[in-house]
Amino acid sequence: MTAKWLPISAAVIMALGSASASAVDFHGYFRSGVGVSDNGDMQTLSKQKVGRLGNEADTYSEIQLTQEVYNKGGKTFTVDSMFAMASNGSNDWEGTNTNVNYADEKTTNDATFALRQFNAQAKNLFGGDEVVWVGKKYNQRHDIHITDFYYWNISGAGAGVEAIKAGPGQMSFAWVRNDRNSDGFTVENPVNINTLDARYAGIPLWADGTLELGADYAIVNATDGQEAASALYKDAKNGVMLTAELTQGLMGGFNKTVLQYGTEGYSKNFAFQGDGSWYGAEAKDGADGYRIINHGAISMGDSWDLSHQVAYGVGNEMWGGNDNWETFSVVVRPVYKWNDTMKTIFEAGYSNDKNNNADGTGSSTDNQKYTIAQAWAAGKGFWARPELRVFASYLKADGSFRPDSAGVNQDDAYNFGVQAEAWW
Amino acid sequence: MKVTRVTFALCIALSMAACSSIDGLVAPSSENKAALNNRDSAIDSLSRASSCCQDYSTLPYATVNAGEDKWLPIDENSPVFNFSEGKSYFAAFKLPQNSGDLRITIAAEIGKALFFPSIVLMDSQFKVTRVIDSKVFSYKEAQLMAGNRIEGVFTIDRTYVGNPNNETYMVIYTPENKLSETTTILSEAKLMARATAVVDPGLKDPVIPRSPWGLLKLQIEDLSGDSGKDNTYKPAYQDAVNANTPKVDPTPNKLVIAPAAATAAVVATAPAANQAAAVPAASVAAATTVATGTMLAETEAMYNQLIQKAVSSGDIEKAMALASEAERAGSGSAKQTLVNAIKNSQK
Repeated sequence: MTAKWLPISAAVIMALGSASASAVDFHGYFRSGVGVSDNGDMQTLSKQKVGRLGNEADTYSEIQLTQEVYNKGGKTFTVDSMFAMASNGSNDWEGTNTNVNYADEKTTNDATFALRQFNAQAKNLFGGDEVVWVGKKYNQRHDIHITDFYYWNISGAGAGVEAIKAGPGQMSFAWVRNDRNSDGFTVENPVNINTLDARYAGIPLWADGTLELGADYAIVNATDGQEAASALYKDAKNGVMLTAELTQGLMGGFNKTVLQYGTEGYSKNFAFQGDGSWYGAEAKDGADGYRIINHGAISMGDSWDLSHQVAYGVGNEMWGGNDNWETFSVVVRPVYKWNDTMKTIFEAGYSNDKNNNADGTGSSTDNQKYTIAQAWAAGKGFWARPELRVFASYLKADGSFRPDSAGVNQDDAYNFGVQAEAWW
Repeated sequence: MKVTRVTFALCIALSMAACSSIDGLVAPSSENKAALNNRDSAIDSLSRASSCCQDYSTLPYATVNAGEDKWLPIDENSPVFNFSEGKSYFAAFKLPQNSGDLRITIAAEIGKALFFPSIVLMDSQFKVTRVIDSKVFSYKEAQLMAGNRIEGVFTIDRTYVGNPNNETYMVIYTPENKLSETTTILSEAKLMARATAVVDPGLKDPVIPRSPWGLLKLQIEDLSGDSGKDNTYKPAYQDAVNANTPKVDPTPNKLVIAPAAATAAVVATAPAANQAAAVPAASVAAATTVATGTMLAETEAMYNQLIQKAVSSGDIEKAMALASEAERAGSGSAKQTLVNAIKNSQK
């Protein structure tokens, strides 16, 4: 009689076992919080140039769900999805409303929702552990965490092959669509742009040193009708961007040096903190540019972490009358760890933008930001999250802040607030 | 503006005060940090320690209850025993007896070193039923509040409360002969890169050595009403166990194939992956073909009942299958029951 129960439980166990093999991987990110400035709600200054700490007033979140749908003979198929939501965090209900300002003929969205990723990936289909992907994908994005600055990111709807073993490193190729719909081109009549992306990563150089090389080719694919109707569409040129990134393992962390050179529409990426995910097809013929970045995160003893960014970019002759646009930025973030859960974070950032006209005139803009924050995180490391922070920031940039009662734009601002950030 | 500055100062002051309580919420809390990180003193201390006890039956077993969820430091205050793989600090528990199946989760925190758990499970007679080791325990990545850890999940069977063969005692230790092994964990930057879908900035993955000390989290769930089962051990029975007067088997965990129960028991053994019960192929073959004419009265009655039920629900095919199965297993009354049942149903 008792024995009769055994096969039943055994069957139950087997059934459960097979179900758990197809569990969904849940990843995600969010930041959100509340803050005020000395003149209304928080005022921020371009964080890619002066750092993000105490300089973010938004709510941003990403929900990523991934499921392996097939796994046989070393070949796997995976479906990957990600939804993102962004808002200014002004209210409880932030939905899909569009607010219309009839007087100024302008609309603003209460919040934006985006499908950032939806792709299928097949691993080891050809027996080399390579990954073939098709769909919308975050394609090997290179970023600097402390400034939220992406400097190499060819993402979007496309197709590609990753992690092809070749010599000491790995190659990957992608074809991604990045249509241009601003700066003369419009949302209703965008110009089709296809970016071909090739990378060779993980080339060993010396102890703890590796090199990644990449080339991107943006192909403008205007329709016959667009070319006939408009010189802007007809004259838009294809562009090339070359990237070399040297990674050095250092003091329990890393240091990266990035060199980038680009022609035609890519010139604007270097002047305006672009990452290659958009292509300034409207740029004047013959425009070019380059960028040098050094960034990293290291540990100094048990109690201090230090991360930094130094970036210098130039775009040459990007429009009629433009000689060049130079942008320089330096940000440092020392962190003192009191114990496993509490730290004090300092962040200082300075940036300068110079717009030099061909006729010798020009303008120069300085930005500065200084932040102190007390933070609590589930772990001691620089990367440990979730983290809660209380921050105070001082921002300075001539005439960049809300006007006072006399209507004069202010040169500086104070922020105070609380922010949470988590990833998993 | 002034208000903002004052508020800021106030917040900093308040939050400094709050920090010590937050520290206690997340592992490893400061008082256990030494156990987790001081590998050298742990090894030194182990080499000088002597075994507390003669054998498994004399270990200091602490009582744990279902629903338990607690931090468990293994350090210099823990007892030491000579296991077959060498000396080890350990923690020993007597598991709840009158409960549903128990799902036990043991997670060893990873600090500068880690305590890689091995679990010995014993029945009520201190006979080892199984040892759960690195085949079940594996590295789990840090996620949100859970740190990097070595985690394993297994289930203790309580199908028959009172069965003396039930797993009753649990000892957590770490094999001394494997203390030189290491575990490579993922760097925090790599975990972040995966979560936010960016390129891994390239930090080296930490390599963590094993230590005789560590910090464990012990979680015991009662699964009655829950269907999740992991790594379940099913004790096998020779024949029906009366829960009220359990019969103590002098050689538990040996699956003795009584001809009557053979067919069912064989089916059960294979998927349950029970190391302890090895069934000789010959006895299986014999049991499935030979009818010996001996069958327990209870079993015979059960078959008859099932046959009657099948007939009354109109499933003659099943009734016939049951009857022939019962006959093969030694029932003398199955065929007659079938005939009677069919006759009755036609009235």
